[in-house]
Amino acid sequence: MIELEDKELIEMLRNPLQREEGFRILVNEFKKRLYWHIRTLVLVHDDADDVLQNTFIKIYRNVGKFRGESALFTWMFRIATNESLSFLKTRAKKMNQSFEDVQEERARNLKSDPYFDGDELELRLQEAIARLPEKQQMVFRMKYFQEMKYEEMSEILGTSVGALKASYHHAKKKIELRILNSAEG
Amino acid sequence: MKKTDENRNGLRVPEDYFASFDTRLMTRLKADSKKGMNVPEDYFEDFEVKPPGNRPDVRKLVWLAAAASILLFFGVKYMDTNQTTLDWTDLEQEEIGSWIESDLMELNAFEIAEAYPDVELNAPNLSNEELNAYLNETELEQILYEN
Repeated sequence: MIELEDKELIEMLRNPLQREEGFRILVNEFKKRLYWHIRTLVLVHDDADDVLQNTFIKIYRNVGKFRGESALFTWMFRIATNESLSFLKTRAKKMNQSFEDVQEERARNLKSDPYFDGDELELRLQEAIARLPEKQQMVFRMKYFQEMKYEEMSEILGTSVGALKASYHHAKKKIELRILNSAEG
Repeated sequence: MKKTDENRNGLRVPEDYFASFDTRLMTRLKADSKKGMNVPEDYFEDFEVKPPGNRPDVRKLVWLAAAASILLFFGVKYMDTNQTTLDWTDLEQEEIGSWIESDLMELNAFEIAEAYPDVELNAPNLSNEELNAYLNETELEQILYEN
């Protein structure tokens, strides 16, 4: 989406007479990309659906505060990331577990998830990712599954490109090692 | 690995999920926006309008008002004014109320610092946990929506 379209869409969303129409256009344009971003982070479809709805509701309610210092896409991805992380952390707190423990359990449950039809390798990959520290999980999932550029990730996560590259490198090494170990075991 | 709109890396979505998403979202958005002004179910069905005969007698109200005025007059006249001095706790409550009502909450930290150049704030006794909770839940989320 070019910058002018961003501006037009934001103007529509801020105009009470065009707000609903603008929101429908925005939802239609971004729902799939935002859904897959969220789903990659929370893994379970029903949770991804909830988080996606919350994300769009927050976008609708807060678009008036958006100053346009970043692209609309980046702003929305940041909200979606924040909502996904909040959801997972709340879940961890309720279950009195760590973020990594919750993710590991969710990855293990994929085997019986009706909306997961991956093979054994995909399952083992998800389990290996789930054991990474929070930041490395985020970076790896965004880079590997969503094929995001480091520059985009840098804007969304507010982390330098160098730090993201280092996180991805460490994550990749750990995952390779875990998959090899689990294959041998 | 397969990457379509309906299936990515083994993760897939229910049939017609994206096609029906917009309608479900709009329904929830409308339901959420009504949440602030709800009435109990069947409220209007059980609602009773009092008949005109139950209206209060205006003449009685005049007498009541007159009696209340007299009481108020003596109350103010003989009230111990020393008891009305505000302590810090009262002032704080008053100030906070006025602050909120005057929309001064909209000022940012820099504007407040400019408005009160001579005032120095003492660091409050906040634990690290409280400070982190505040930063996590309040400021950062607002910053997120603005940029």
